Amino acid sequence: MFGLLGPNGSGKTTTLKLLLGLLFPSGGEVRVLGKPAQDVDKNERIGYLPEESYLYRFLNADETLDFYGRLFNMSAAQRKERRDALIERVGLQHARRRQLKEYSKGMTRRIGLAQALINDPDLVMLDEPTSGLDPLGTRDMKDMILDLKREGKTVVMSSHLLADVQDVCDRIAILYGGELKVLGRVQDLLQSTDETLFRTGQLSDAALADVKAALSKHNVELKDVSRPTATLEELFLKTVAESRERPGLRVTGTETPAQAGGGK
Amino acid sequence: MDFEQTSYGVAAGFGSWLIIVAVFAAFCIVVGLGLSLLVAGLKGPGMVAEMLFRGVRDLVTISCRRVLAIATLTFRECVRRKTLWICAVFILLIMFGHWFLGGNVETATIGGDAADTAAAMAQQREVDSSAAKRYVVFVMTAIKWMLIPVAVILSCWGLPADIKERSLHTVVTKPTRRSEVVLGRIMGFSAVMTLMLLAMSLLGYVWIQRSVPERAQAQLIARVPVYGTLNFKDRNGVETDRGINVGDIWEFRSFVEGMTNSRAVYLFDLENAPLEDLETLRLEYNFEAFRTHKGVMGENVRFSFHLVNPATGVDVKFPRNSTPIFEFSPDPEKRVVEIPRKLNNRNADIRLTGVSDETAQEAPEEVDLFDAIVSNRRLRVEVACDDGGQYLGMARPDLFFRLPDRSFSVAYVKTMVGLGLMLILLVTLGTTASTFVKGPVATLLIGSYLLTGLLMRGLMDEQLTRYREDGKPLGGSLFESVHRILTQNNQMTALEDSTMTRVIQKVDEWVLVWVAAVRSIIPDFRIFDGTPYLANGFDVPWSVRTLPALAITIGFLVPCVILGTYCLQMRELEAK
Repeated sequence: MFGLLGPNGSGKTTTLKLLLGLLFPSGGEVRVLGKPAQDVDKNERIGYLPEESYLYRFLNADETLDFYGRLFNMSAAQRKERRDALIERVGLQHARRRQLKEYSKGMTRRIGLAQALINDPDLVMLDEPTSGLDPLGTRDMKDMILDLKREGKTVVMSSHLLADVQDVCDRIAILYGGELKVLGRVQDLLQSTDETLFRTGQLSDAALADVKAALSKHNVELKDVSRPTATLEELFLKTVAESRERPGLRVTGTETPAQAGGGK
Repeated sequence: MDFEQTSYGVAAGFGSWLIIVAVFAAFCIVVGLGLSLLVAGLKGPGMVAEMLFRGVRDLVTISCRRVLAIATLTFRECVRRKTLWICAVFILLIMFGHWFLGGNVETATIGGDAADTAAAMAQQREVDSSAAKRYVVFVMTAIKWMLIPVAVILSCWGLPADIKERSLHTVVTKPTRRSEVVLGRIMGFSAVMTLMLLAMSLLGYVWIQRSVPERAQAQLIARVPVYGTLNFKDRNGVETDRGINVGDIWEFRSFVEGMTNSRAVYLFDLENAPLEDLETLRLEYNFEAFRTHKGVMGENVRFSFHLVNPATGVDVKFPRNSTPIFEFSPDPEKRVVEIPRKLNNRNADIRLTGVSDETAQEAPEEVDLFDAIVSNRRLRVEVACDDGGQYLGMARPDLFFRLPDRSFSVAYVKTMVGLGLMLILLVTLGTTASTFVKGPVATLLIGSYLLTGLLMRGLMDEQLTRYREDGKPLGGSLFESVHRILTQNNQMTALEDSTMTRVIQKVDEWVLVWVAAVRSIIPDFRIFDGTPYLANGFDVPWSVRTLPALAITIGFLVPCVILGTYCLQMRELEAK
């Protein structure tokens, strides 16, 4: 899993489009899977999800996947098998007969990912796969990307959402102004060598005093002791999950309706 | 409407096509090399070679499945974007078209006194006699001018919209060749246009059959004419190229003088005519009378046919007492003379030419038209004017031998096939243009191309074929014509031999080369339109119009796909 990071305009999408042959390099040469970027044969092994899902909005999900399957010269039986599997994988069984123009943003990204995977590619290029998605959609998309990783596929994704890249990527490159600034494994790049983090169960005051004493004995400065907080994403996902299980629940947490704004 | 019915020569056409395509390709490569040298320096030619190689590979590895996928997508897109609703507009048009085409003479007049009624009924007959033509022209014009803009707009805007919306990105990032995109788009749009044409032509056919007044239904036919060559005899019976000029500026017709030996001599080649199956010979004429005196009031100028076999000297005058011409009648059936196969002294005047009156009785009393008159499957028909002091004007298409008529529906189908091929050609040109320019520009480009092919092609042909006796273009070309207008010299006047004249004529030579080059890459759109033939009730053999139309369509399709492939390949699809 390789992540292309950078602020808007840094050249992430341009890099992907150069790799795909949609743009021509003003200098140098671009090769993908050992072939020039302009060689369409390389596309046999590539799947591409554009930044926006630029699909044909007048087609439904079945027709969309069937169309892209035909572009890979797949037989009717292969296309049907692949189509059914992918629609199930991206969770669009309920909407497979609806035209894409009726799809929500999340559904559009899902069908976009499905079309990128129609040929069971070795290399998957994802341009801002989570942009515009709600946290739930983002989580689903990240799960699907992690599935690809488990299947052993090479995934190149560009994003400016750092948390998303950190969650799924093994290696990253940071671009700025069209130049490569950082390249390496996420683990190596983020690991701090001059600090140590303990994560334990609940400590009593006595136990905490003992720990402090032990650290002091070894001349180690204790910089911070705190209770960990969940991320907002985790809270959101938990709330949605609970709401699905208990549809009548209106307010979660300790805040009363009155405190939340008059109990309306 | 061109009466010349020359079968299309496939081999000759293919030869010319190869030359034009080769010259055009060489021109493009030279221009490409020049531009690449300017842009990329010495690396340029290598880049051009690589691009050419990639294009050739693109073209030879076309996958039918991918092409069909894109064609199906295009078809589906048009259907779901409600393009077919244009057919509904057509239905509306023909629903109310009858109001304007009926041509009923006011019945109040018919109910008036006897003279008015007779005049009104005569007028009604005249109106009815041209009804078939009006209805056919209406349907054909409506279909043609509703579908042509649709074909141009769909094809010119389809690909640019795909590029603008970036849907094409998801296609070209699959193993799809650019050639497949171009060909698939052309096929998809062509299928849509064909479907609409089929629907409209079916509706139009039913409407014509139901709407044309019963009295005019007989005109819904497809006449099969056989045209002959035309020569003349002067008043002394001596053969000559032309007849008499009665002072008409339009020299289309030459005239023969009444009650003299002056005749128009038509020679018909009946090589392919099924004479054995015919019991009558139908000749249809469209002569013009020129009167030097009023003649008998209320009576037309009279004429007769002389069926002559020069080998045996048999000369059969038919009809025996000559016949009046109906020169202004819109009903062609009035101008048909049916000559029975068996001719005898009751229906014809049989003579042997070159024998004196005393021996006239030696002429046979009865002759078989096809055995005694037709010689070497050639029929010689001489037309004589039988009114003294009057003249009869004729041109080559004014007399033809009518083979058994064909069904109107066959001619209708042929006309629709021609129109369908025209739509496919427009779709091809539009799609190709859209690979290198945006929608509005492509529309303007193809619109101009169509208008040039429809309206200017004749002018170009004339420029390139009208020469004076000294081999120079009649009246010169662009600059010489302007010079002649400004100096008030007509086409035939010799210009002053000066440096300026020589420069103008030299420049005009290059203008003519340019006109010839442009003419060779602009299709003759007129050949696709069989409406005048259909409306006037003529059948045109497949080999005369449909085959060249098909050849032109294929002839443009192949280079257009190649050109579109390269244009799309050179284009950075993501570039703003």
